[in-house]
Amino acid sequence: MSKTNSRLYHNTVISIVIGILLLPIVATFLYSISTRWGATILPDGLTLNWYLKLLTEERFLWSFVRSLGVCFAAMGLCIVLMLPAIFVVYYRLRYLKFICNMIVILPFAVPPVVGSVGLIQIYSDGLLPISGTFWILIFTYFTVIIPFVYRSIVNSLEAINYVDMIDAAKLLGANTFKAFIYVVLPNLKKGLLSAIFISISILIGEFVFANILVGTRFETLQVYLYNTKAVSGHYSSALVIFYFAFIFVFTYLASVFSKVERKSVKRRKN
Amino acid sequence: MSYVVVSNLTKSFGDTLVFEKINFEIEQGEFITLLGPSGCGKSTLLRAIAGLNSVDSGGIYVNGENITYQDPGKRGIGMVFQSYALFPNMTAYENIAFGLKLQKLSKDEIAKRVNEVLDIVDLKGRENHYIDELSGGQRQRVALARALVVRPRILLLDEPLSALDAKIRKKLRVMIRKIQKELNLTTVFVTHDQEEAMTMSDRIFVMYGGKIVQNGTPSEVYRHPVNEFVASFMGNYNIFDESFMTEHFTNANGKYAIRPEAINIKVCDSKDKATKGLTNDAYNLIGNVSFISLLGNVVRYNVKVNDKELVVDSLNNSEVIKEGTRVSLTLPSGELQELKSNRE
Ligand SMILES: Nc1ncnc2c1ncn2[C@@H]1O[C@H](COP(=O)(O)OP(=O)(O)OP(=O)(O)O)[C@@H](O)[C@H]1O
Ligand SMILES: [Mg+2]
Repeated sequence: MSKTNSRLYHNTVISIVIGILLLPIVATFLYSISTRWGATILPDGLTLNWYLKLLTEERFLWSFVRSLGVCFAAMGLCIVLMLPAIFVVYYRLRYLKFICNMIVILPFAVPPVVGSVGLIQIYSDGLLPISGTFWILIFTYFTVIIPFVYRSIVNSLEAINYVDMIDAAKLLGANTFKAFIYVVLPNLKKGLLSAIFISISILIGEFVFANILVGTRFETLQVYLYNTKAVSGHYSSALVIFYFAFIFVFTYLASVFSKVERKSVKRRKN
Repeated sequence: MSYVVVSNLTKSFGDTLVFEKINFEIEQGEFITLLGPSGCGKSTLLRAIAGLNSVDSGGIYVNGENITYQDPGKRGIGMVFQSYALFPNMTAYENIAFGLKLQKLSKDEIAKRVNEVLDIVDLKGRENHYIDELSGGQRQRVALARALVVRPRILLLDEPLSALDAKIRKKLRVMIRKIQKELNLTTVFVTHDQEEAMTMSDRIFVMYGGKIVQNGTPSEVYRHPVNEFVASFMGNYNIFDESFMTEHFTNANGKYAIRPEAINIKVCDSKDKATKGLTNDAYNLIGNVSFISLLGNVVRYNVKVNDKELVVDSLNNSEVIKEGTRVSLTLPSGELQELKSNRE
């Protein structure tokens, strides 16, 4: 096969894969900007009215804010709790690694429909009577993303020689805490960023827990989507495209931001 | 009392004893090499001196002061790790400045001292690069500079050159030794490369199975190995057991060894016979050359005497003897070293 031929082949395969992946999104997008799209291959007319309606709908905006709030709170809680735990296990209590690797799979083992029953039980009384409030959602979402946060952090921790790095820092006068903050943590940035992206993307699309645990008392994006699905398919499509675009821009900005930072350090010093 | 004293140091991880009752002393400004095979406990001993490993019993004293239970950061010990252990989130400059920043020195003072060591390790102009933008040799020099900049009392180097290629390794050996001499820095260098140990050290401590089996200058250790392990580790010593000694030389107890370059080799014809016993203070063997390797200025012959193969080095300045040739070997009796058993 000649060089141009093989390139053509590669490009074709990649285009097909991308095409298949993009198809539902493109279709949803087209639907969200069309006036009517029934019996024809292409929509009858184009409009931005669905987006205008969406962005002026207070109920939607609030649901979006609630979703973001709960997602970020759960993600923050998860990282704040997991980071020191992982560090202690990997630096001092290495025999616990195996147990941790088992435990973090648990959230996958229990389907939300079943898990929510137990969660409501636990949080109904006792120390934390938060059933039916958004708090229960934060504490539930926190467990949902544990596997992803754990893996992202552990992967980037294992990619560096953290034991020797901490030892080196200690010999230079740092205590374990300082060594962790100055030497280990900055090198976990990539893992933390991916933990953040994955967590937010997963949680913002979560419906079952949100609907069962708090439902309309604290209407999140997905619950709102579900409750307004009868209004218009076009409207729902606009909503999906909107939050998809949000995740996309959020991810893009954060990755650009993390690259620019390092370059600017170099320019400043030279 | 010497500058560094290690007495009866013992360390085990759970059930495995790594080393037991280690004793040695190091003078100020001395360059010591810990030489030993992989897994014999060199790193563990070094990390114990640095305070990165606890010890079970025994003591470590520097300048008369007991540091056995001191924090690593307070011991005044610098260390270079085999894995570099540099901080990838920092530039070379920031890596080197790290220790000084923790000491809360002023920016100017830090800049002055970092620039000083950058000069010493010849890294001027590369200080603003991140670690992944530096070559292996440059990284190791950053690690060295980072350890030197805090002006440690003792410098520990754990196989700092083993990940580098031969050429850079040789260059850095010279550099490390020069810096060490200029700063009169008490240094412990770990390696499992006997050539590295020979060329760099004031004294070599040979470690084997958690013990220091021999301690002496490079030529002492090379010329007078105490046991079979040291003999085979330090060079290509020929080792004779009791029955070989008795059969060919004289009645003997235990094992003896001789360096390959101490043996004289010359061509002989089929009439010549080996004479048992001493002739002109030397023993005599007859054999056949079974293999030849040219090592540049030295030719190495493998000579088969009955079932035993001996290694003989001779200078590459006359005609090389051909494979299969019958040769006579002369072994000066003064060069035969009596070996202790490895257990002693
Ligand atoms: N943290 C640890 N836990 C348990 N055993 C250990 C630990 N560190 C080292 N050991 C054991 O102690 C012994 C000595 O290890 P050490 O790293 O000191 O060897 P070494 O002489 O430095 O070897 P190398 O030349 O390969 O670096 C080995 O048998 C090793 O398995
Ligand atoms: Mg080692």
